[in-house]
Amino acid sequence: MSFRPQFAFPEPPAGCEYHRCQYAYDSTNVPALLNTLLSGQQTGRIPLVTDRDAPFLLRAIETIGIQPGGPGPGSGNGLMIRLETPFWDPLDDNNNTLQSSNFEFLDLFSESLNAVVPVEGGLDGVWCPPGGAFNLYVYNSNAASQAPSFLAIVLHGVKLYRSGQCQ
Amino acid sequence: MSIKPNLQPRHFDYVFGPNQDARLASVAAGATIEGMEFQLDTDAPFLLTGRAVRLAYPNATISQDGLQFLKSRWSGPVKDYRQQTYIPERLQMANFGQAGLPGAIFPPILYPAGGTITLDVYNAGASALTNLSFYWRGVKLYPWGTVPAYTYPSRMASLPFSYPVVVSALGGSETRFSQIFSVKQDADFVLRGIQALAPSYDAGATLTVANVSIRLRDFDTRPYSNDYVPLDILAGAADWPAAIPVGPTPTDYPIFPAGPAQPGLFYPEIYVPANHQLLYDIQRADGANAASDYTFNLIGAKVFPR
Repeated sequence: MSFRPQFAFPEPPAGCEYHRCQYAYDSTNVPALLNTLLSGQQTGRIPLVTDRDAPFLLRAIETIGIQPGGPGPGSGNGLMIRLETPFWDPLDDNNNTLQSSNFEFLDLFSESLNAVVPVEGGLDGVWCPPGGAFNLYVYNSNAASQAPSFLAIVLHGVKLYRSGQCQ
Repeated sequence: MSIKPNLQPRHFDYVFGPNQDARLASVAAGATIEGMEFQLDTDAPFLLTGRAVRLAYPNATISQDGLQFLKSRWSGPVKDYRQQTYIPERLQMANFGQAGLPGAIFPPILYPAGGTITLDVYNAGASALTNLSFYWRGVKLYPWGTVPAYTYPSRMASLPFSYPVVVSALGGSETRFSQIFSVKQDADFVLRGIQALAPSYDAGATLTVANVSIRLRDFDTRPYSNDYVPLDILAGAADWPAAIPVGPTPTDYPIFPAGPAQPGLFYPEIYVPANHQLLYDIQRADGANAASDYTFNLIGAKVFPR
């Protein structure tokens, strides 16, 4: 597989259709984001559940979490995340002794100020079975406690429907 | 069916700054420097595909004011200038090619091994330009087998993956040599892009973290650049500071669309097998500022042989 342009995905399998789909998660549907994190504390596994009607292929990520005007790492708020696939495969490094190297700053990983960040890897995207859940972990690397209540994450991709029938 | 090129391309960045020509340490107001000759390495031809230019950030401010007055002209391999006359750098490329978004050179220009780029600069501003550097980005071309050429297995699966690299307590004027980046044992890793923390000045902490550079090497210690390349040239980040001067006064703007949606790219991508390493030297030139953790993000994919 050689380098290919972004978004150059293959056609769906015969008898199937791709339907664009976006899943949005924030503190209104993920209450765990309202909990205060101490400095150096991380959340447990936060499931980002998808619909049961069709498989979902993740092709891009978008987060909203950088607080404007802050200098320094992570634009001042020190919020870091780690995403895992529904099969518990992390999309960034983990199991390191240094805790901060197990997470990603938003502005280096998933946030581009009104632009989505393509997820380059699988042929069609990252597979999620119907009703499956991506796993989110949030880590506070800031010296002060904070609740990631302002964090929003949008998973962009396509649903795979068979025989062209939409439910 | 894959088409294999006759020569193996390998990512390479040339730095042409004060270390290469001392006259770039300070370009006086109104001064013209002509005929700076930058000789390329003799080990391989170089295909120029992108450019960037940068002023080193002074302490306690994120500013490159004066860069908007820089004009230049530069040549191909036979002193064939590619401009009729001096052209402002701000008109040759957006955002001076910084934040992992180099100004494209198309069609690319091929320089022979040991070839020369001739550069003339003119500072049309009212202030001196201090620590001015030019970056010539592209690929070196090697006969196959000369340099490492790991590639994908015939049957594989891949997963998007990023390795955050945390450099702990990097001193204000510190250089660390031969730092090791190791790929975990579970899968190969193909390095395609990079992001790094944006230059910053924290007025509250009086801390400047703005002039951080790396020199990436393969496991044979063969470098991917001739000198340290600032991470704000190689890579971008979201929420970039207002560091691009526009206008005579000037007004400073951030770089849009710097961020992981448009990461700094390694082209060609660098394939690193499982348990293998890349090396890097990292240098911070922020003077007497305190030590600070620094993070850059290696972006690509895990490759699982089947």
